[in-house]
Amino acid sequence: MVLLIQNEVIKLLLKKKMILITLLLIIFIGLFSYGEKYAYDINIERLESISSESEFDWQGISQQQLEDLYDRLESPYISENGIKSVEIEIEQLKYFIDNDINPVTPSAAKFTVEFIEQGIIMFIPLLIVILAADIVSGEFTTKTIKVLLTRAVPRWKILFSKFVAIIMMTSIFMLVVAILSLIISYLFFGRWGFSEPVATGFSSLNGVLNTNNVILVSRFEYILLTYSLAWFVSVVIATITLMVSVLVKNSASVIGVLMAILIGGQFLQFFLSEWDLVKYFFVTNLNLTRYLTGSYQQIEGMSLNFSIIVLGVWMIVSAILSFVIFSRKDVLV
Amino acid sequence: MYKKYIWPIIVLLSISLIVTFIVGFGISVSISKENNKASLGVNSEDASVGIEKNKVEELEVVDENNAKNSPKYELLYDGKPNILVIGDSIGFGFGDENNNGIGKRYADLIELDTINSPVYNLSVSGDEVKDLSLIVNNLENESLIKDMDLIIISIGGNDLNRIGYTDSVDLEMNYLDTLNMYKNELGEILTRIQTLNKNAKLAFVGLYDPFANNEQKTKLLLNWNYETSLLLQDYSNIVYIPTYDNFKENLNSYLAFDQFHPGPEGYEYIARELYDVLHSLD
Repeated sequence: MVLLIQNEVIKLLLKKKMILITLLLIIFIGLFSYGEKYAYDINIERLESISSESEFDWQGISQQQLEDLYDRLESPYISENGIKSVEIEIEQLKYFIDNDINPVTPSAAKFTVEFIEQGIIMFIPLLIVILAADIVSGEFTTKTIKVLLTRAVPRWKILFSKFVAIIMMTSIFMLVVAILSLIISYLFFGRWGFSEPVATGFSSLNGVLNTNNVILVSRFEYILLTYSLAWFVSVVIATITLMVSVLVKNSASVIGVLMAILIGGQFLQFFLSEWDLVKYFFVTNLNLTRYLTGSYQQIEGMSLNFSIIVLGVWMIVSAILSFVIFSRKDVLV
Repeated sequence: MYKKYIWPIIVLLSISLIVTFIVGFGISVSISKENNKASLGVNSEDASVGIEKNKVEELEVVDENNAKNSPKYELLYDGKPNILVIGDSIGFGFGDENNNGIGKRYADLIELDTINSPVYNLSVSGDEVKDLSLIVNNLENESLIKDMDLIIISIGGNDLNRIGYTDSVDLEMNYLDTLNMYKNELGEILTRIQTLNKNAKLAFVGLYDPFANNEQKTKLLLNWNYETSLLLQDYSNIVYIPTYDNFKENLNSYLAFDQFHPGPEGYEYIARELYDVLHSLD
């Protein structure tokens, strides 16, 4: 079995798919980093020319905000939860002031998080689809399926080795995304920013944001959290891709079908609040990282647990279907 | 040959990564778990840092211990309050599930049993201030108004909407006429209510902008709200419930299907604002 997996991994590597998606990644990360840096510089320039000072006085503004927050703490109308939220914001702001960092300054870690938060719904799944699309359908086009199936190995083992190979490569790919994001954005921004505090731990109660359990974590820990969620999403996408790859003999069609579903699914987001069924579709549940940040539109009944369960069900059903279909399929090559 | 080295590296790397990611995944889930305690209102704030800071939505939290000992309405009223809602379609609750509206939702927030202490409603969709005046002066409603502990008023939106105009100067002139007429009528309505009932708390619901596409009209609406709150200063025991700012920020979620009246979320917000304002005045 291990040999089978090893075989599949080597096949994946030799097909150079990993290299292709890594290249695409480098291009996009480069573009986004550059864009952010450019926008930031323009903003600073503009603000400096308005205030006609040689250097942008963010300290003054941040100090002012801090004082506003302290004032709010002393208001007689503030509630317990309000105190907690304000204290967390004060902590965050103080960190930036104490370390002499402008709170909006982009840093490598910040970019890495933003990149995955943006990419988790479409860009990363697309790359995974490219990686995994021809894992089965490719064997049909090159007629190597004959060679594969005439071996004395049960069919399910063959599919399983492919499945494991895909999972392994997906995991490594997530690491590649993280490292590339960090390195390339560091080249542009010059700051790591791992220790910057980030607030997370939001949950929802009756459709309203609940800040009872909010904690501050470092950016580094936050990267781990968001990338773990992204990894989960990638694994689910990879499994669904596997299923489509089993069903469709043409690799290009696999990519096309999945792209259509991913993109079309985004449009379904608009119906989330009216049409209940939409929230059981896997595409609308891909955006797991937004549950961590707490700054999103609450949809009735959707929470991190809910999305994970929906994705999990889609993954299990896809896996079962793949194995059943592949085992019984008539291969007439 | 490189097959010998690549394979073990890949196995090691992928296994350690998978373990790391599963752990990270578990942590994310545990810190985002839903709170199962039965709190009613929650305080929420956007935790973005720095100069990109924006809106804040504050809703009051309810102390659960208090709830177990005595129902919330006793914090403000002696015994079960009688609640009356008067005015236009927003008072009526048009756009809300079962036309619940502000009155019923507020009653829920203070844990009032609306089966035994029903929320009274004399609102009529489309009513303008002159129609409200007729209702308040109607002898048939006298004893009802006398009995009330809280009266929620929502009026003026239809008056403002009906201002006709041909150009912006025309608009300003007509606006001033309508505003003056409205202020006079509203003043008389409030006087009438307080003559009948000295002790009831009054609450006036401010106007929000469902269209947000005409700067001049928005400014007039803001002026309307301002003049209203000024007028209310002349009366005692009355509070103003502002809705403009928060509706502006949450237009998509607060409005009903007709994109004009509030929807359930919008009414809930107004009820909570009412709760906040009334219950912080101790």
